Amino acid sequence: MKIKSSLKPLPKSMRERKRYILFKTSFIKSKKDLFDLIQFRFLNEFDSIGLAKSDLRLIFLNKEFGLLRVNFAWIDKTKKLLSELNIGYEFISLHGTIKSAKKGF
Amino acid sequence: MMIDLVLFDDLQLLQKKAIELNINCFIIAKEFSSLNELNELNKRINEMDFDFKTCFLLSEVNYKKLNLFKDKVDFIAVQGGSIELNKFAVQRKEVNLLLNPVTEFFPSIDTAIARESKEKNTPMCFSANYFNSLSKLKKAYFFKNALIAVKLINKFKGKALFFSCARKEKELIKLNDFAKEFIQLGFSENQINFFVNEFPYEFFSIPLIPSEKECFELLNEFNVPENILNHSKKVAEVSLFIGKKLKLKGIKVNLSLLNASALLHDIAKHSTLQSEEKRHSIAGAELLEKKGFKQIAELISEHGTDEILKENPFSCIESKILFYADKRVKSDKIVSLKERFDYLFKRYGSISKEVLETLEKCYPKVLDLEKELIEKNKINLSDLNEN
Repeated sequence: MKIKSSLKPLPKSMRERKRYILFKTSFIKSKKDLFDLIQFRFLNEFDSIGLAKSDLRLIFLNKEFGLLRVNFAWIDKTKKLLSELNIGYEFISLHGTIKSAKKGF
Repeated sequence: MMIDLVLFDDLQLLQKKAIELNINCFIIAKEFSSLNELNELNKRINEMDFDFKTCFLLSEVNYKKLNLFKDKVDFIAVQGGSIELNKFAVQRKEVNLLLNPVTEFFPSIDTAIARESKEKNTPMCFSANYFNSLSKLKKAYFFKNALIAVKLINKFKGKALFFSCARKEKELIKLNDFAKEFIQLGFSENQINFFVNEFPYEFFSIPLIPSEKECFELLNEFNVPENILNHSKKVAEVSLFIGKKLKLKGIKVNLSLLNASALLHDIAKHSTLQSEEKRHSIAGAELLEKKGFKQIAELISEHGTDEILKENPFSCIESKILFYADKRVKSDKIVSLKERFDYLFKRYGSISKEVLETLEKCYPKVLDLEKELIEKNKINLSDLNEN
């Protein structure tokens, strides 16, 4: 008997509520480096469980802007933590979708 | 007391560690290469005085192996983590456990898997050994995926189990501490208590047995006098002696159940002697059932002398042994059945003619039980007396 190797998507009601933080940055290294930096800081501050719950993902980074996905309940903590990093962070706007966030830059 | 699943088979060490970790049954999970390997382990388990169960651990989709071991081991577990293995585990009736349904790499669990896990009664098991082997960052990724698993378990009212899955002594841990980590992921404290302390007994159909220390605490709590305490200790000694001998003959005997029942069999004797409301065996059974020790309660309810006159007086071999051992111990001395019954005739026969008649009817039946238990299995009674 062959077993399907695909998963059903999670029902909408069970998915995490996420938001997208659009920010300005002067960080010149790669996207991976910035994400590692943010993750490392999160781990130090909120431990593994905090990093897991915040559901962080750096969606986009260029020389000027960055777009970070974060769990709805972790927006404030993330904003505070980003401002403490030495990356020239400047908050621009908060969005519900990537599409709307892209309009900001 | 708890139940743990481990991935190594140093039985002596596990038995030693059990008291320290408050565990009364170890499930030995292994990917046996052949039936011979399993038989050898079973042989070693039979020689131990501790409750061990065997579990065949599958780490690939392999129907051949599944069919080969399905009736030979106590349980079958699938080492999950991939979508394919998780689906395989919950779809097959023969599989009892799904180990590590999520990893740090991928959630590999969806609504269909969670629903089938609930319907087929295949609980998802989280392993402390795997969890502890992860770095801080990987732990975060694991938590992220586990969050989904916990959500799905809660949505479909499924069940979870927590095991150490230790591969060596150092990896044996207190399960409560590990399970508490999952409170942060969405399980409530009550759920964790249920998954660690109650559900395993229900799921594996393993009797909840108090440790020897807990037995003495219970006896102390109910103010059992010294003479009854000494009698109980001697009955436990005799029971264990017979139990071990039968075990060597290949008969499956749960020695910890036997020991605890023997120690507690007269727990209500003193109180019933004073009130004379109920028979001490029934009162003792009710008392222990209230404490959650159902199997012990059943055994104790069957140790009254006239129980043997019933059509099917004993529910299991342990019950027979307890009944017989109790009839071989007068006060704290091992005596022959004749001597014990002479004493019973004298003490209780004087109460009424009916009691005497009942006791007289019981005696030949107990002699038959002696033949069945002792003579048929060639247990040397002189060894018993010397002990």
